[in-house]
Amino acid sequence: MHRKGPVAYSSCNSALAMTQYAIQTQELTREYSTVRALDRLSLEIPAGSIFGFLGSNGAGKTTTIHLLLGLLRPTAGQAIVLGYDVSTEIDEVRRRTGALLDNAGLYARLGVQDNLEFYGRIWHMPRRERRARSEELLRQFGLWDRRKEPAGRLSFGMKRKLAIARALFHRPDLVFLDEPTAGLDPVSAESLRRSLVELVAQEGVTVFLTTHNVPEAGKVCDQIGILRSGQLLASGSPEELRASAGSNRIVVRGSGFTEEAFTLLALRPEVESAETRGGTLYLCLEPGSSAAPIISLLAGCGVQMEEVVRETTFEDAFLSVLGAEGHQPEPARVARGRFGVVRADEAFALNVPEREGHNLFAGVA
Amino acid sequence: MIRDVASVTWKEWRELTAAEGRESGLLGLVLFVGLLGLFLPYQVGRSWLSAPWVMLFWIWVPIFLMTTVTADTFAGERERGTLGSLLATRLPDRAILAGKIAAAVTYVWGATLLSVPLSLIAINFKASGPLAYYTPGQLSTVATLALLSSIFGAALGVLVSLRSPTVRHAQQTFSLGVLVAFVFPVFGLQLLPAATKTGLIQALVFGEAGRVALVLAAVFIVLDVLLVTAAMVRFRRGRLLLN
Repeated sequence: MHRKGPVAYSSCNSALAMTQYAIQTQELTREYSTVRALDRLSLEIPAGSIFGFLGSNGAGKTTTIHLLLGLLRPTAGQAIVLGYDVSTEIDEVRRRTGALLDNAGLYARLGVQDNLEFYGRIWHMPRRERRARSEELLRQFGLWDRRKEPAGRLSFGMKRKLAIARALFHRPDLVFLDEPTAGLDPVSAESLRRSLVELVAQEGVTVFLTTHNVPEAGKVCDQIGILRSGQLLASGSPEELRASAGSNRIVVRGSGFTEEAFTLLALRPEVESAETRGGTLYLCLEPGSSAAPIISLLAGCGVQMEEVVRETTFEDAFLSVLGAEGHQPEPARVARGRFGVVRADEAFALNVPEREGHNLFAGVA
Repeated sequence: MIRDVASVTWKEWRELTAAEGRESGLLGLVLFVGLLGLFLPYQVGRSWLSAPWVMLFWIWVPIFLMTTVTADTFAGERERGTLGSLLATRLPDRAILAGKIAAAVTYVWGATLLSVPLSLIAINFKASGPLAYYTPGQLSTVATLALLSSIFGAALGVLVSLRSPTVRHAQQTFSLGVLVAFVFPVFGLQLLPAATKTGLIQALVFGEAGRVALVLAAVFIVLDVLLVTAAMVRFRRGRLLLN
């Protein structure tokens, strides 16, 4: 899997664009009578990456997929998919892409394997290859033992897996997944995510997925676009979005967290809470506060600091983007100055297993 | 293109003959074959083989079976949410359309051809005298007219199904259309001058079967071309999804 940073927009028609980007859109717009479902979307998605489109229901995610697959005509703008103009070369696009749309679209009366068989026939795969590929994918998704059953008898999660297997069946260069884990229980969703990431890594396919599950996007995607009311608010890697959001949570790993240090921290107006757990000090600062004076204070109290990390969850970044655009997130309920108490909004953050951060200060004594 | 049409036809056939829901499909098929292959020939007797008016049965009865088969083609896919995924594949528009029409035609035409040997059993069971059988000319006339009427029914059914939100809606619209198409000539006949009316009835009852078959075939070829063209014109991926 390639991990690439954001890139500046270049001409959609350049030869370079054909190889470097799986998807390029320029001012792509779609209107339904009085509603503008997608508003001048300009995107560049590097080939071989997993791109996540984050947004709430009705944000324009599904419309984007339909436009990129030529199922809808844009009102304005241009889209290049795998080097082909969607408006004039849609057959070439469809030849090289796979899709799981908002509805899994499985044929309930057909057997599990027959659902894949049909798509293998559509893409003119030889019989032997169809058989081998269906066995490979059904085993990978844990559906091999149920291959003879009608797809309609599968559980919801199994149907989603089968639909993803079908989208990947003909080894497309690019696959569109519209909310692949929507409606799944957490265990099934995690299992599906893992299978998906493994497959993508194996086959080097570019993935364009939409979701309104923020942690999922943060975990799975190389690049993320945040969409609201048809407008792209921000895009970049999860790390970049976290970095741009900033954080008010500081984690200090080390020793020597004395009573004196806590007393001095309590006197600092920008410190909202502080607690130690297993040799780690967790601090919450007021938004926008600098960490440097606090680090100096701790150093002055003789605290031995091995690592200082300013931590941001991806949810923080997501809410920050939405907040910056006029939708302020719910204000965190903070017990100001009550040391040893975890901030109320940490309960939300704790739902996110991934807690990556930016190392501000390592090995400070 | 032929391979793509075959892929769609393969899928349609698998759905038509799938274990799930096979009972209702089989019941319709048994009723159809029972009516066209046993009941009607038994009632009519030897005239079933040669009377020109019998050709109307070989034309109209397949169209009624078509109602259940074609209503599902697009309206069923739309209702079950499979249409979007199908339209997102590399299949050309014409292959999807032709594949669905081909599946419906082969299913209904096949059932009609199955009724032919059964009709001989029914006729010979009832009639005394020498063995009744179809001449090659009669057989090819029946097969050709049944094929042309199956294409007519399939194209009309697909055309209706393209724009119907549900299978039930498609079935109702199609049935109504078939009923109108069936009733219209009957009432139209009453409006004709007496001499023309008598001439037509005499041609159907006592006329030369081959000539009547040729006229009917010509009419159906024109209708088939018109309907298939209309279906191709109305098949637009974007509009199908929006609806």
